[in-house]
Amino acid sequence: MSPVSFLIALAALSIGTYAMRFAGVKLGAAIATKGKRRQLVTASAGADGTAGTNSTARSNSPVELTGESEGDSTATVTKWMDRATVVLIGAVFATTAIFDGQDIADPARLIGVGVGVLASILRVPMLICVLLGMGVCAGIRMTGIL
Amino acid sequence: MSSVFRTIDRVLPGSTYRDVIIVTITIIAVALSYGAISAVSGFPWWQTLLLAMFALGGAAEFTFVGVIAAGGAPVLAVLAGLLVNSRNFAFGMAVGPFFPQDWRALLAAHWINDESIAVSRTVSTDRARWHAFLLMGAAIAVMWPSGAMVGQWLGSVIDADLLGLDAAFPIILFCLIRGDLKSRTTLSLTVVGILISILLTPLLPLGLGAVTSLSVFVFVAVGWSIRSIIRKRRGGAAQTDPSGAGDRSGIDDRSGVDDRSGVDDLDRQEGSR
Repeated sequence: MSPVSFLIALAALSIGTYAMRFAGVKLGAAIATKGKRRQLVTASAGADGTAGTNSTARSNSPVELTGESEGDSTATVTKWMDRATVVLIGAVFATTAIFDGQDIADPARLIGVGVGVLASILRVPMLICVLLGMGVCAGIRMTGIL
Repeated sequence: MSSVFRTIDRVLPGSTYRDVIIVTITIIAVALSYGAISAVSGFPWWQTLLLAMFALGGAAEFTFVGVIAAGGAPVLAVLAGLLVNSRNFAFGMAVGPFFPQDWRALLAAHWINDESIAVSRTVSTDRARWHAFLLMGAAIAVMWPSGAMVGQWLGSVIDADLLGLDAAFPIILFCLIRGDLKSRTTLSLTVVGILISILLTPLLPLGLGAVTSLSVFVFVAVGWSIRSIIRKRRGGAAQTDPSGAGDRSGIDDRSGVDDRSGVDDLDRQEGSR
């Protein structure tokens, strides 16, 4: 690649990537802040409703319940975004374990990752899982079995 | 200065430091192989270095180098790299809530990647998450380009395949989410998401596969909307209170409480698959 076309490609990749990262941060923060503000607003509205003249048991509880459920919904949104992160990391794990580009990886890597994952499920410390998996993978490749 | 470290000691548990070290060692190993592959593919050292410093996302850089080495046009390499890095948008959304919203967010956003996100998730308070993220992010920001440089220098001496390095990265990622997979809901969602992404990876452009796992949430959302529509119909028929607020809050209350049982329903359905 000529230096110029490399620098242009680098700029495009870096700026594009950074834009995605930063946009995600801003959006995530906005969702969290909006949820907190809504919680505060409905909490104070609920307090006003108790003191108000037209407060019946029925008109109190809807406001409080709404406050609670909207507070719940912020926690819910965060919980689900958290789950989304786990699912995404899981998918990256699976696709890098199984694929080499778009072809399936060689058996050595598949078995190596399988051993490492099994060790992790069996509560083996992370470093040992990694070394075990790498060792099995390298071992299979070096000895040429499979 | 020492008080800063004491503060960090109290905020982060010891296990986080251990995780960061282990992940960093793995990152160095992967960086070595990246540098070697880059050198063998014909990139001069300064290109490898700049790419490592400014993209700071291992998978994307491997993809970029891979496309160029295979003879692809630069624009394809950029698009492929951007696709691979697109998951960082979702990661950004996950950490946005605990990022301090000032100039630090500008720098910290650059440090968002699989590992810094995964490590930040292993602790529970917002402050701890921020510190864990910074620690891992800083380690990667320093060691990834450095490792790439050493790898470039060592060049073809390193045979990544022989060392089994390509198995290390997925294992690390699994270890970091293993704790979260104890929840049945999360486990089912992850399994389905993984199946979707594995099935679609051969069909889609390089790098897009992992992000498709998020489509599992579309199904969840559809299931919920159907459920709330059904409830609204039942709720509207049963409610004698004419006020709209009463109706709405009644439904909100039920959907708030049912969130957990609704999720368990999904759980049972997916568990039976």
